[in-house]
Amino acid sequence: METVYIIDDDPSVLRSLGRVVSRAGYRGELFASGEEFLAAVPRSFATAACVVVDLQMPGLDGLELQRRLNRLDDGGPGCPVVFVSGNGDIPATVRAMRQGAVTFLQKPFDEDELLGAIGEGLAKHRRLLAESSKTAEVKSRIATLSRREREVMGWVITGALNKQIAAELGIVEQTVKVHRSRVMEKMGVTSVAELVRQCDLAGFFSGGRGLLPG
Amino acid sequence: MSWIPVIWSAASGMCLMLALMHFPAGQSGPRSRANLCFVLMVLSVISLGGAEMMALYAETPETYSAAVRWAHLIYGFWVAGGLGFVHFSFGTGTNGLLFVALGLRFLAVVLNFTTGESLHFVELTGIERVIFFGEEVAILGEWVANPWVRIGQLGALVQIAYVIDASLRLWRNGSREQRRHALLIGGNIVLFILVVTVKSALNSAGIVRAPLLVSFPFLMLVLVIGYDLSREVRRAARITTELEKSERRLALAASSARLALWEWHLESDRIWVSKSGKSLYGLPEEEEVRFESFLATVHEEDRATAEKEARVSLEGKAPLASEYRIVLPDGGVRWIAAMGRLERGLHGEGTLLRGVSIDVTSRKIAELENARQNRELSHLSRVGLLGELAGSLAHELNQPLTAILGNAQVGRRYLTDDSPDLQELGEILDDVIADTKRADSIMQGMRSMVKKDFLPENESLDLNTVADEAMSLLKGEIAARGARVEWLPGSGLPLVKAGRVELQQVFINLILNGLDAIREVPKKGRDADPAVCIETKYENGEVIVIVRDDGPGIPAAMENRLFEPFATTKEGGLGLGLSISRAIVRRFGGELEYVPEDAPAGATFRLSLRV
Repeated sequence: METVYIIDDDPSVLRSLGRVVSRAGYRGELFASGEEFLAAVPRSFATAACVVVDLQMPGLDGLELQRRLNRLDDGGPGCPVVFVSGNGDIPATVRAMRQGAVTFLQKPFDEDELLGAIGEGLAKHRRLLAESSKTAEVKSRIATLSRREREVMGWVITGALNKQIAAELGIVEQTVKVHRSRVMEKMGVTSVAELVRQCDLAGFFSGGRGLLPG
Repeated sequence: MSWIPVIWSAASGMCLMLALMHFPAGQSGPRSRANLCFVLMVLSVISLGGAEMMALYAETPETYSAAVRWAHLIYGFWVAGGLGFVHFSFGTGTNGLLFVALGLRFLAVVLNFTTGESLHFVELTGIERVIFFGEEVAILGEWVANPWVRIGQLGALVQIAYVIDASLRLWRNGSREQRRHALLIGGNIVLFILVVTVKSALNSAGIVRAPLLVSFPFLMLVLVIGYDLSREVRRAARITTELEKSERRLALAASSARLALWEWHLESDRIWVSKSGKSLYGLPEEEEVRFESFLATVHEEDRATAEKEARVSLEGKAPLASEYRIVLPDGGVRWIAAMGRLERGLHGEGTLLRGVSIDVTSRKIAELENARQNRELSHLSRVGLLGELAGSLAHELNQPLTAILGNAQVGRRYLTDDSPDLQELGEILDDVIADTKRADSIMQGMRSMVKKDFLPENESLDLNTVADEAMSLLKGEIAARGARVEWLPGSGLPLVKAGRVELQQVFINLILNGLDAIREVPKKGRDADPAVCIETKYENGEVIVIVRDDGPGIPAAMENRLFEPFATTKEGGLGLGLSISRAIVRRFGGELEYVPEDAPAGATFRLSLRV
């Protein structure tokens, strides 16, 4: 079940929003302050989640909470945040959006607006989670490559020909071919284009020197 | 020509006139009792003259003897009158001596009628005739002396002793006027008692052969006392003239100052009001004023207070000081300030309330106008404050609205279920009700701040409650600024009399100032963050509110001008907040001041209200 974390210092609002999300079929987790939430939130997410937080709260406010949430998540995809506020403070809104907020809802809001925003947030998180699991797989594949295979892959994704790679690495073209087919096999791809996308996903870049096309 | 009746009649006439002049008609008190005694003396002298005439013209010893007998009775009255006069007009005599003297004289009169023919003679057997004032008159011839005459002579000694004693005491302790009185009257009375007693002793001893002439020396005494009394009459006349003059002056002063003079005679419930006073109160000049008719002139709304203040002043603990409106016959309204003092009778009971009233309409109008402008100004500033808080108040209001909307929408969904969870629905509705009430109370707080109606000014207030209400209006603002506010309510605060909304306004003003001040100081993280601190306490009969902030403090140059209007350190500030706040607090008899501190930073304001 997907989880919606709701943080609001007003207990009545908290209870009401909790009912709305439960009724919509999510698991609602309610917190009266940002500190409580940060202490309870998991370091990584198995299923998609979304945070609904009030912008103005005593102590840790919504923006600070979002910043710390982003930092907390080491490497994994951040949990999307939906901001709600009683008065639309434009500078705060802008900052929230730049920090990657899903959206900003002005209190009082319709349940459809809230559920819509939550749905959007969850979808984003789901996508992020999927991407993040894909990346992890690519990284583990890269880890199985030998040093030479990684060097060859670095040249292949720049679009270099076998002959050029052989010249660069000081090996015969035949050997390059062997490495290349082993890379394609280990990375589980059949085309260079696919390899390029995977390397991009994993943040693997060419080790080549000035031979990039264009 | 017979001189004796002429002289005696003239003397009697003079005496009678004196007696009538001094007859104390309709008065009371020691002075009038003295006058009554004087009248008794004079009438006795006149009667004594009659008895003497009877003796002078006596044909037989029996007639002469009868005259002497009656003369003793009359002399008894004279002694009573004379000693009474000394007693009442000197006020210094020894009562013991007075009673002995009167007792002996009474005994002498009794003996006069019970032993022999009179106190002097057991029997008078013959009279002789001598020429006196060219007429033949009777004098004593042969007689048997009455030994009881010694009682009369002893009485005379005691009388003399009493008068001398009383005169000496007056001389020793009295004023110059009283000394003169003592010498003249005391001396004369002593002298004449002595002369009469000695003369009649010599006569009855047969040493001096002269007619019975007692009333003459007494007449002299009567004239001396009469002279003395007439001096007083002259003085009284002079005082009367002075009094008339001063009354005219007072009336002039009163009418030119539009001053009403009045005296409320409590027993008869009559109020004497000067002419200027009657026109001030719009009362008909001829009408008799009573307390009820006075109250009828007072404005309906002030009547109960005016009556209560008048009645309280009758207890005499404090002078009357009352301000009220009166309604004139033409419907005009006048403000009156009345001041008065209770006067007491002999036994300490209030007899009279005497006082003045003045027209203070113009002052009062100015005061009311001033107060109205003050209220107007504080209302404007309140509206301004609310404007500043509008954003955060909207936030405050949006909280319950958000909760209500969410709850209502969820509730509606529950209703579409086959078997709705009624318990959950009940809880939802309870929350909706609670939030609606919360929204309403926020609205109430806002409304009371902008309401322009006349606000109650002397509610009994717990300042902690007032501060709580102010804090609830500021809650959103504090949250929006992410500021730290410490609220330390003191315990056991007594109630103070003031206006709730205006005090809230003062609190909000002070706290907002503090919030503005700390915004200029960088945050250090949670508990070390700069804060605004509000504290209440009870000290020395005052409830005190301290509002302190950790801001940069007040520049020294501003300190003295803080409470002046338009003095501000804030960008875009009007500089009216503190001056209006102080005016409000002072209107409730309190004080609002800046407390310069040695601490390196921050500003502290201290509000105090008497309990």
